[in-house]
Amino acid sequence: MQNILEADSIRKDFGDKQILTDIYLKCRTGDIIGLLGRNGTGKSTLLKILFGTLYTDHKHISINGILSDHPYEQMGTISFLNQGNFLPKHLTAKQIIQLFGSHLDKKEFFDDTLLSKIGDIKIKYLSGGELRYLEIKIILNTDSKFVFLDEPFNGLAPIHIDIVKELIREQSKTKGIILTDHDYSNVLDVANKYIILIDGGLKVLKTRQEFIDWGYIPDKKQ
Amino acid sequence: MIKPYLIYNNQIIKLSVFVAILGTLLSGPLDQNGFNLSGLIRTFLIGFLSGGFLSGVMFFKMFRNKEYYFYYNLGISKLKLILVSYSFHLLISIPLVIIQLYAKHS
Repeated sequence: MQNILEADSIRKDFGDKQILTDIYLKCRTGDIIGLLGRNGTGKSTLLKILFGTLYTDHKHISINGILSDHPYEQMGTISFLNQGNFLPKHLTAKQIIQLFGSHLDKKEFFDDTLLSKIGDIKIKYLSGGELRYLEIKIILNTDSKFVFLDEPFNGLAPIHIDIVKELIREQSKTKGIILTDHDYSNVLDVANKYIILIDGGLKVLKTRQEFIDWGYIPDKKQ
Repeated sequence: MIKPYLIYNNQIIKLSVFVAILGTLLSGPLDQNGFNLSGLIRTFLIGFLSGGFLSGVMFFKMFRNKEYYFYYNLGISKLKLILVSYSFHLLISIPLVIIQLYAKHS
C-alpha cells in the first residue's frame, strides 16, 4: 500500500530566530529522503515537529489525507530514532521487543551476528555501538508507515553502517523513510531523494554538484 | 497496553518513596504524645503524592529525558504517562489511607 505523509506551512521560531520558514515536505512509501543541512539549521527540530513531539503554532501534517497534530500518538504511523539513546536502561532487549508488538519475530530479530548474544542483557550493559544498532533495528522493524532516523550512523562501526544501510533499503519497500546525519556520504549513498535545509527552507537537490553549489559539500577541485 | 506505564511508574516511584520517607523523618516522627502512626502515615502520604511525585517526574525529565522517546514510539504522550503514573500513586495510597484512618480512630 502506498502511504503519503504531507507537511505544509511548518514554521518554528526560537525567540527572535526563525528556524523554519514555511516548510513543505512530502514523503511516500519507498522514499528514502536524505535531509541534510549544517549544524543548527533545524533538521532535528523539523523531524520532531513532524513526529508531533515539538510544538509549533504553524503546521499542517497529514497522513494519507487525514490531518494529524500528534502523529506519534497513533501507533503504527511514525517511528522516530532520536539522537540520544532512548531505551530504558534496566530492561533487556527481549523485554523491549515484546513491547513493540507481536509482529516482531524474536527469533528472526535476534538472528543477527551483533544481536544474537545480547537479547537477555540489560540495556545498561550494552556498548554504545550495540545499543545504537539495536535501537535502529527496533525502529526500522516497527509496523509504522514512516520512519525518521536522526543521526543513525553516529557511533556505529563501518561494518554495521553497511548493515544498517541495507536494513533501510529493505524497509523502504513498505515504509517512507527520512534520515539525517552529518556523515553525508552515507546519507547520499542510501537515500533516493535529497533535500537540504538552508536559511529555514527546504531545497530539493538532485546532483552532487548542487550540494557543492549550496556550500554543503566542499569542492575538492578547489 | 499497561506495561509501558508500569515501567515509567517504577522509575518515578523510587524517588517518590525516597522523598516521602525523607520528608517524614525530617518533619519529626514523634509528637507530644510520643509515636503517632496516623500522623506519620499522613505526612508520608502528603510527601508521596506531592513533592515526592514531582521530584520523580523532574528527575526523569532532567536525567532521562531522551527515554521519553521510548514511550512516544509506543504512542504514549508525556502527559498521559504522568497522569497514569499519578493514578498509580493514588491507588498505592489507598491501603495507607485505610491504615491511617484505622490508626487514628483506634
